[in-house]
Amino acid sequence: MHIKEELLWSYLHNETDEVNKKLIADHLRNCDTCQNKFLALENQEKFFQSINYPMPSERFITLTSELVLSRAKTKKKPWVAIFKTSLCIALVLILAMFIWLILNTTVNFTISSKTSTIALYTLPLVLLMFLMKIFEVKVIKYL
Amino acid sequence: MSLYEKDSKDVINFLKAESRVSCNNLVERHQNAVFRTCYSIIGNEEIAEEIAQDVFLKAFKKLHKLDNPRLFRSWILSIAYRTAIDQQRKKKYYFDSIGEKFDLDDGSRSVSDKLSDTERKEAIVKSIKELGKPDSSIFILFYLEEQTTEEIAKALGLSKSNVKIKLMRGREKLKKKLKHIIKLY
Repeated sequence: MHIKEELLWSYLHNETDEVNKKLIADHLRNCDTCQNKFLALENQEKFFQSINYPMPSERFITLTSELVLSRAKTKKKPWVAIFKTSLCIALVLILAMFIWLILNTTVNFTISSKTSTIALYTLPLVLLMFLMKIFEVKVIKYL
Repeated sequence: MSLYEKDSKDVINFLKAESRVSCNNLVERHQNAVFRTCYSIIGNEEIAEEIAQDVFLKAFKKLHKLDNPRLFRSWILSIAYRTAIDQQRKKKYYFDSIGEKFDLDDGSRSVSDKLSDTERKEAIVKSIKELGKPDSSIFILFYLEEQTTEEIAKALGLSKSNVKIKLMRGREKLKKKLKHIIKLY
């Protein structure tokens, strides 16, 4: 019995497990037909590996690196930080106003104590989580 | 130092200090694989180069999102593959005139014998392109960029066995198309 081409291919490219590797190597030592098949396959594979396929131009590295570095420099925009801080201050003010309103307004409409408690504790919490999200800095573990 | 370790070192250096040397190293090490992945889908050198450049820009911009710096190669190849496919869908790039000039489908020996080296190269490139996606990208990454089937599977979001099947299928098709050129080799 001879080895299938697919198995020989896997063996040639080191894509087979250790057990099969050993079996194929042993068989190849004793079988001329498979050995010839293996040599022909090896030749074909060498042809595929030597194909002259297009490559990027010589300027590619310089151009790309320059672009990457120039973008990296411009990416830190100061107005983003200013905007984030302003947004944060505005949200804190709104929150303070909201709490003051709940605690001090004499309401004409009926609002249950349960609803007001939820509003008093949940909304600030949601707002705080939102603020944390805005200022979140991704921690890169491997740095 | 293995390729993975080199990549890891350069990714960390770039993230820490936006090091020019690390940036150059990463582009130099992966430019062929990225460009060829794009070219295998787009089929035009100039456009493939533009897309490859775009791929590097995207990758460096999102570099902090890369979970394992050792896997930079498969990560950037997956970006290259997706970006090239998106571009192809948007702009419908087609392979240029090579198609009509060198039709090796009849496998005629006289045709392949008469071809010059450049023409033979173009005919081979055309045959690879005709494998379609993702087979052509798989073929290029395996044979010319020496990626294992496992690495290709990771990069293109396929299973290892699927990559192997597509690779074997593509290989068989090419073998049939290029049989006289292979014989000459």
